[in-house]
Amino acid sequence: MLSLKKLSTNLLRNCGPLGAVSTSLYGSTSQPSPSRPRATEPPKRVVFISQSTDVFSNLAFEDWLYKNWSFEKRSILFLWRNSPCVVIGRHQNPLVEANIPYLESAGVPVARRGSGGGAVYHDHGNLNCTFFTARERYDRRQNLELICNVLNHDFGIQARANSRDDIVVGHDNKVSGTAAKLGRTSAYHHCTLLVRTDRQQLRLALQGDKTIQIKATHSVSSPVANLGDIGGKDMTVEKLLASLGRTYLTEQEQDPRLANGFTLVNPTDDWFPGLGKIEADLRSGEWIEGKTPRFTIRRSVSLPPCLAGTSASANITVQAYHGVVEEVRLEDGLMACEELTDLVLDISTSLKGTPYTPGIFCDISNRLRVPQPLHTQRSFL
Amino acid sequence: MASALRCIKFSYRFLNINHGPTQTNIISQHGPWCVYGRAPTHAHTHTLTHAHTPTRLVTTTACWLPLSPTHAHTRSLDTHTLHTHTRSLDTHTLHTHTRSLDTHTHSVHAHTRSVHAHNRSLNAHTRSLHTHTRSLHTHTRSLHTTLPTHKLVPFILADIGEGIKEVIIKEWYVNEGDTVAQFDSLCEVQSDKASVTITSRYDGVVRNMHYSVDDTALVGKPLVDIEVSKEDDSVGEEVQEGEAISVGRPVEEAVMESDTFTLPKGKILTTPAVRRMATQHKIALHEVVGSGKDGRILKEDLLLFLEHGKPTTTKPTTTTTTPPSRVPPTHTHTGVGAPVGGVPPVPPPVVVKVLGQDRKEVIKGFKKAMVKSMSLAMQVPHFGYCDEIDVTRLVEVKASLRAVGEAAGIPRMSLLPIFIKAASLALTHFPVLNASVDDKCENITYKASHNIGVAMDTKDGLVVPNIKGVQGLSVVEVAGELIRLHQAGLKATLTTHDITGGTFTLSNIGSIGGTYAKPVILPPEVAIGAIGKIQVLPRYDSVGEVSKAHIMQVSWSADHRVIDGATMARFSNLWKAYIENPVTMMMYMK
Repeated sequence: MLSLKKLSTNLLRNCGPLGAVSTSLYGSTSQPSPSRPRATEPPKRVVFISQSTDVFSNLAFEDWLYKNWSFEKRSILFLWRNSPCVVIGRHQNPLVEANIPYLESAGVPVARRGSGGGAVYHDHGNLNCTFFTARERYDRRQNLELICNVLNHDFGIQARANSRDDIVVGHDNKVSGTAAKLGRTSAYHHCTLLVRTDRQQLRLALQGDKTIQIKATHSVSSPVANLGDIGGKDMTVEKLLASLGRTYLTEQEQDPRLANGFTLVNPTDDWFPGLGKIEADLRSGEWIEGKTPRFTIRRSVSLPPCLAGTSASANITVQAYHGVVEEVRLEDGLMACEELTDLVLDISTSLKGTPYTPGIFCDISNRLRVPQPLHTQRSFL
Repeated sequence: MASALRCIKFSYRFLNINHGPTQTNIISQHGPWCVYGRAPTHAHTHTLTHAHTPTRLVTTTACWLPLSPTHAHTRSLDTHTLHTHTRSLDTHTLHTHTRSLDTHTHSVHAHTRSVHAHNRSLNAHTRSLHTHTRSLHTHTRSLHTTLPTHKLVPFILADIGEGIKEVIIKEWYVNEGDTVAQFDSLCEVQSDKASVTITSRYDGVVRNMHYSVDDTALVGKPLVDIEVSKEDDSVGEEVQEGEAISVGRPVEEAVMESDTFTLPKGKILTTPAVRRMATQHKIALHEVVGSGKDGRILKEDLLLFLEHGKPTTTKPTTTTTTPPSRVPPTHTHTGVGAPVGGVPPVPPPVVVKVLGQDRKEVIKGFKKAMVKSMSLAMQVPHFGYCDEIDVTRLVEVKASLRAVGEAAGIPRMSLLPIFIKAASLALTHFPVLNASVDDKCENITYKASHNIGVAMDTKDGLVVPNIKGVQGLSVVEVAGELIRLHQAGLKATLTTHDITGGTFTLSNIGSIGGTYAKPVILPPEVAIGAIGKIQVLPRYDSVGEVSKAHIMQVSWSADHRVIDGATMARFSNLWKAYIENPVTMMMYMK
């Protein structure tokens, strides 16, 4: 809830003195205001277009703007494209969302962004838009409506925003996903727009390991479509970019000559001091893996004959938090022989604190095979 | 020591002392007094417990050491207590010590949500502590005093927007015991697709994190408690500290307490400052209705009590004998329709305090908004047009109007809805009066809807809600809306929708009194009318005879930049024609 003072100031600006009188008399209005009142002086609009296709540079620039720019007088639309990559949400688990082994082999980077929401696949056929505003002016629907208007008017595509704030065409084929980040004074809302994305790659890239149990944000998958398929052959990312930028600038009936127009930005540290550090943080394992919420994976590991009791395999659960192994547990421990239980306990102690990797189960399996005395030595390494 | 014990007993003569086991001394509850258990020479921990609740608190007397807490949240209290009582007891400054108790109990109050009565008793108990600690004078020589500095404030999760009621905590950036500054990030929450960084509103130390990662946090509920320093005035509005208890005058205060303090019948929650004020004004606290949290009596309640002179359990709504200043103009049973003829004005039964000396106040809040709006209005060049309306015919049919109103569910139908409807009918012929100009007077918008505002006087002053679309409403519907707005005005539940969007205003100042007026236009409207009271005056009728006539004055003001005198005059004549001859109105009713 806006503080009373802020609400009165807003109303004073928008509804005139009487509005403010009534508010200060009666406190905040009885029904919650769904959107905050706009200031009478709409902020000037600026469009930034990124010259870089590196996902980390672009994400770093996004973060840099969010932290260093004041949006009281200006709102910004940042348009950017990336070479193939997967971007997961702030609180997601990369293993669950993306097919890490495949991506690693293909050399496709995985990045974690600062806003919430689900995982997306970017490539050159995908356009990203980020709407930066002051906190009070944050309005996702308004931004999505602007995009839908552009698609309708300029490209003849009947697009609409659904209740999940995705832009859909036709029979609920998703062409855009949305995420947002709100801070104390600034906020941004960004979304993707699929124009000519390689859908097969998208599907392969986002096939994560669904056997992992997590409390992190789950992605909700929907059937996707390319705008380029619907809009015709001459619809390109560049055209969409130009249309969006133009509409954004002229939407509030400002004289386009007064608007600052399109600005090309090169997101490097030379132009934007401090960007280098943000980019380095975004690339670091500490951020990408280290922000993973707690998860557990349960796999069946085959046991060597000396340990196998009633069954030839055991269910081992690995629990990790912030990308680091917390515990290795034996499920159905009652059925196992004492040796196995002790062994698993030792493994847990030795693996605790080590970074989680998908190959950990191999490692556990190997450790289980090692004869007892050697193992006890290892556990103290 | 024995003498000390006797002193304790003396001061607690009203109470039962239970010399039970040390750990759980029971305090009997006779209103605000609390008992401390044992004498201070025992170097064991001492607890204050309420007879009905098991919460433990630590006392702050001399050599008593804090008990290891059973509740997690009293843990923080421990350190405070230890801090204060090892430092706060000095032969000369016992009262600052008791003030520390005050603080603690306040902080504990904020802490322990369920033990209100207990804490309240502790609040009040500072006074008893005066005598108590005075008697312990000799035992506390070695300890020094510092003023207490902390109180615990719950940091409420503010509205994220978009109607979101709950969010999931994704990450904490602080731990319990960390020092945070205002605007430091506390945690990251996620609502749907938005990731929000919650920043601290206060400087202080984090205590009590109410949620852990992946929990669902509710908007409007506390997220963490932050311990702030007491000098921070912007914090903790529900916890109001009294003024500093003066040092070195325990005797007088104690005497005053025992003389004037009545043992209340039930539990009463107030702060020491309020209690002192109550005793100064000789108010029995149990008669005052508290309007604060949990029925707490606030300073405002005492002032209200003083004004009315007797306890009120409900706000006065519509009574026939309330003073004129309290009756809003829409209720015409005391205003329009009441003949004057020699009745002296009823003085308001308000206890008016004569100002002993000049009092300076900063204009802020509502008053400031009024200053702003009126300053804006005065930039508009007004002209006035006044006239006299003969409402005899309307008054004659008032009884049947009332009857129809009752049947339609309108209690006590007055003439104001008719005036409003007549104004709307006249506005259809003069749409320029229902227009709106912008700031620089470059554009004029002729509004389609007649949203007629009615000025209302509420206890906080002037407010002008409007009735939307009068052109499409019947008189009964207008009356119903009037009643709804009036009720909302009384309960302070008027919405922005009610207040904004007006195109024309009528002010029924006559319900309070007066004849001619010079009303001020409310921008961005262009016209306003003020209706005076109905008087019975002698007038010549059509046959040249003097007869009784019910005369009402109306005063119009209009924006002379867009309205000319002739337009206003013709509008007024048309309105007058409708009112003076209701049949005409009926014939032209749309």
